[in-house]
Amino acid sequence: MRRISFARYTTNSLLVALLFVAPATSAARRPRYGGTLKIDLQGRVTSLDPAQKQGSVTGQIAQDRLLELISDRLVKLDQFGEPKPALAISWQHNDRFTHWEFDLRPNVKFQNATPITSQAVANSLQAVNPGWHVTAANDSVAIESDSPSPEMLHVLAETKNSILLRQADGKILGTGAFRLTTWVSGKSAVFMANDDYWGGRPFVDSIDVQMGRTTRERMIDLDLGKADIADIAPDRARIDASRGVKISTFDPAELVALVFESSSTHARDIRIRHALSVAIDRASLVDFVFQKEGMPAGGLLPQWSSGYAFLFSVAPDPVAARQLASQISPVHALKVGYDAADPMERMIAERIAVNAQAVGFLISSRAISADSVAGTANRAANLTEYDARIVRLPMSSPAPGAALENFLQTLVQLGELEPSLAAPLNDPANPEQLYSRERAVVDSYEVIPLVHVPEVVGLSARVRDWMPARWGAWRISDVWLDGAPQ
Amino acid sequence: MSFRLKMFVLFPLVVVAAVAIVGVGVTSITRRSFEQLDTSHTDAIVSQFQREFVNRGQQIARGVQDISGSEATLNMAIHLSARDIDPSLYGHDAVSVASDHHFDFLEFAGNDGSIISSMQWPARFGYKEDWLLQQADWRARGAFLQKVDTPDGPELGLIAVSILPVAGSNLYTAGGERLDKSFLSSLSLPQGMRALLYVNLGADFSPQNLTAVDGPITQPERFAPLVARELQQPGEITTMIHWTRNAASDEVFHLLPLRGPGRDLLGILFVGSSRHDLVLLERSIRRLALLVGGIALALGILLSWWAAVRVTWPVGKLVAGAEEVASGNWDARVAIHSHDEIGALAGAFNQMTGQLAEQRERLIQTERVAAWRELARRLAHELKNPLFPLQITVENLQRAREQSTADFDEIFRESTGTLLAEIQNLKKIVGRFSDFAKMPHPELQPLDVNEMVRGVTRLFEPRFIAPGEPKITTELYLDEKLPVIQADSTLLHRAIGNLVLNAIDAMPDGGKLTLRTMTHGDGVRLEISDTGAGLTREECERLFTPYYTTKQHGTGLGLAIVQSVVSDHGGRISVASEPGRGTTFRIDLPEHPPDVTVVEPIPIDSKKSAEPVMGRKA
Repeated sequence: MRRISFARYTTNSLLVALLFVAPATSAARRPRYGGTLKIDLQGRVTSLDPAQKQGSVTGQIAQDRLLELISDRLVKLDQFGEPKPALAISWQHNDRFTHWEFDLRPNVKFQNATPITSQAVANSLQAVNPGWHVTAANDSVAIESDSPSPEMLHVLAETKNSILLRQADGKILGTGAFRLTTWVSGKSAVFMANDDYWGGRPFVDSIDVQMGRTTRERMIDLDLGKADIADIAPDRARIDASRGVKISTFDPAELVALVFESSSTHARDIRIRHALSVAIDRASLVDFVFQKEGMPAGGLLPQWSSGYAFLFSVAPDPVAARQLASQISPVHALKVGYDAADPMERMIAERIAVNAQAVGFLISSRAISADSVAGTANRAANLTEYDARIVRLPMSSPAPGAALENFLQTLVQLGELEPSLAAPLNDPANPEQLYSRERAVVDSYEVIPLVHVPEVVGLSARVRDWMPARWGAWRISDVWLDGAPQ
Repeated sequence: MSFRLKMFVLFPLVVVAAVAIVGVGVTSITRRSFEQLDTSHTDAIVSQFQREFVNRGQQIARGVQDISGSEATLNMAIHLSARDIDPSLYGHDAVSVASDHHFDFLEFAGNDGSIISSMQWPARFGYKEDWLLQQADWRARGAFLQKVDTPDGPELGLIAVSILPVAGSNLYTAGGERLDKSFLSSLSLPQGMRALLYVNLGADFSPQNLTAVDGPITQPERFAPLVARELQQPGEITTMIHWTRNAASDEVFHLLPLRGPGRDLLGILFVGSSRHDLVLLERSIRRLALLVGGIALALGILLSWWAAVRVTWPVGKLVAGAEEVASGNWDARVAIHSHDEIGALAGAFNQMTGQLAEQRERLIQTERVAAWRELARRLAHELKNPLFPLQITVENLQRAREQSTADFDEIFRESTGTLLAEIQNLKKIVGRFSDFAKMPHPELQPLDVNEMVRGVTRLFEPRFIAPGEPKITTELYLDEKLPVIQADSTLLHRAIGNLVLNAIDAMPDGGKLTLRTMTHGDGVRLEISDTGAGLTREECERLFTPYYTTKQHGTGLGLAIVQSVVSDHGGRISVASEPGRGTTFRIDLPEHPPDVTVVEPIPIDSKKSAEPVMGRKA
């Protein structure tokens, strides 16, 4: 009789065990198709058309998220923020970066099975970029701009430049991994997987999106499994993490700033704005208001994007603030407006009032309506309501040049920045030019950067392969759900 | 105002006065009652507020103790007592804890008073609450009023503090409730009363700091002086606010100062009591009084008219009777047959007039007898003087005839001469009496009084300068603007002459005679003054009485005639004299005498008034 040694017995037992366990483990790690991904968003989206601005920053962010589902851009950014082909497979430009040509990917169809054409692409881009001259050729489109656009690829990667087919009834169709099937404006939307997606079918069958969910509702939905992905307010991240919620935090890509009304008579004196800038304790804002989620901001761009943000001082200087305040007479009481629907903005405004009060300024915080936040309200009426207001500016691109130009253009559109400060940069890729422009803006004290805040997302336990870009771009088509039916 | 009118007015006045007194009295009592009621209500509300204040304070103190003693707070204190600990983790705790305990304010502060978490002003994280360190034993302090800073400005809170010591480090818990209209809503206010709360959080009065339970406060600026007064003179004050001109809108406010730990005035409780009901009640009373007064006045007028007529009718008859008596009709009688005091008065009046008539008759009879006696005495006296020489002369003549003396013829001639002289004297005496009895009626014609005076003076001038006569000088002061009057020049000439003769008789040793004329009213005045011995008061009073004389040989008819002439011209004569200082007769004559009534010549037995001023009776 052949004896089996203990070592062999042990080895064989382990091999048998592995035969049973390995498939199970492999099944858990292998992506699975199917299931409905449930997303809770804070913002409300009234239209998916990027040409129509949303009423709030959260709404704008939510619109970007939903646009990413249904559409593609000519160019996409990889994990490192580098432009990669998407609907465009190749491109070329002239020496001055004023003329760009993009060769379109063949055999791509909109979600109504209409083939994508160069004219459709040109129409789509022209709708949201009136300053460009977009022309269609056979299988390519050409973009011409008056000023050099070396950051054109990053700009085209922004969600606002999604390629969309605008139908006569106002509906829009994209080429994305998902197609819209149900739409209740500002409340909910249902997206189904696009089986014919040129990049391959996404893993989940559908996405159920709930909009306008409050912090409390989003938290409950996550806890009860009614949401797989939900916006988390930065100040809740630490608390929710301690409660066991899976938290995904991006690089701080949203600038929170105090922006003065250009026509405010009370804040006309630059010493007032300067004093207020050095009176604000940004670190406390990060520690207390954002519960350590974020970075104090001295400049417009975050450190991870620009690389020179550390050159802007963020430390408060109450002594200097008092000295400046003592030079001003009379010091009028200032009103700082904040979005009435955003508790964090309110907290920031109140903290600024406290800081200012400590150095001798009288500042009162005042809630402002959604119309005022969106810039659609009567501007003359706003002037009597506040002298400055809190604004949230999401970075449109990880590229510093594109992001800075977007910041400045947004501020100019809001009418709160001297247009000369938003003039196009000769070389947006040049850090010195970026710094110099940023310094000019910051030293005008018309915009006081406060905090760079990251986007925080709460995930349910069944979400797998959540691999967003570090600056906040979701990549839902890569996500699959654990336990979803095959 | 007649007696009837007085009575007519008096009765309604008494009625109205009575109604007014009752109305005012009822109003006063009502007002006093309302004020007492208001005072008691106000006291009740104030004590209710104070009880509520104490109860809430105890609840708050217990709540703060509970929070401070909770497991979560203990964990926080333990965690924070360690070094290098980030307190921002607890930044939102105050909100949730305050919500659990229904607190309006809650703060956690570290050992140095730095705010770890603030419910009312989360943004104040990291700033210090120095006042927390000022007292060691907050538990003994209980709840107190405290000014609480919030983003919307300071507010007033009822606050309690608790200290949780851990490892030598204190964790302060300060929480409480807002003192606002919700606090006031716990007060049960009677109808017409309200409670307002003023939170004194700034140097100046702010209308926004004045709150009430029931909606906005109209005219909040009217409270500014009261707040200023309370700030200047702290203490409980009661005052009134007139909201409008309508008194019904008036409101009485009682001010209760609310103080903080440092005795600083942090708030004022206004307990207002409307005077609406009181004023309406007063108005009702006033309207009722006016209605009753009006009805009473109407009835009073009727009644008083009836009563006045009833009472004054016999009085009027009495007055008429009295006037008749006054006019000389002493036979007047009043026909009143009532059995009351008026009837008795009428009876007494009738009896009095009867007695007066009888007494007058008796007096007339007596005077007539006296006059006759006086006349007889005068006549006897006047006639006896000439009769005695007549008797002696006749007896001498008889004796001479019997003796047949040679000189009988001589005696006869002398005797007859004497007889004739005495008889002539008798005739003269009888003539004077006859003249007085037959005073003629004045025949009026224009008369220049000055000219008449000059004529009389010229008539007597020879006598003034005749040798052996007393030396009398004459002075005339005649008003040349004297009006011409209607008068009988003969009678007046005779009267003035009589007065001049009297003056001459009054100055046997000479003197000065002054005649003066002047305008007097619508007539003239004539004064005749001498510098004689003068008259006593009694003499002056009897001077114009017929047959009264101060002369040894006067008839006593001269001045009576003068008085009669003046009176017949509608004038007056008076005399002013003092012994040793002369006498002045003053005659006032109208320019146009009234219708001269025929005055019967004074009968010899009539009684003339002995008044010193004599005039014609109308």
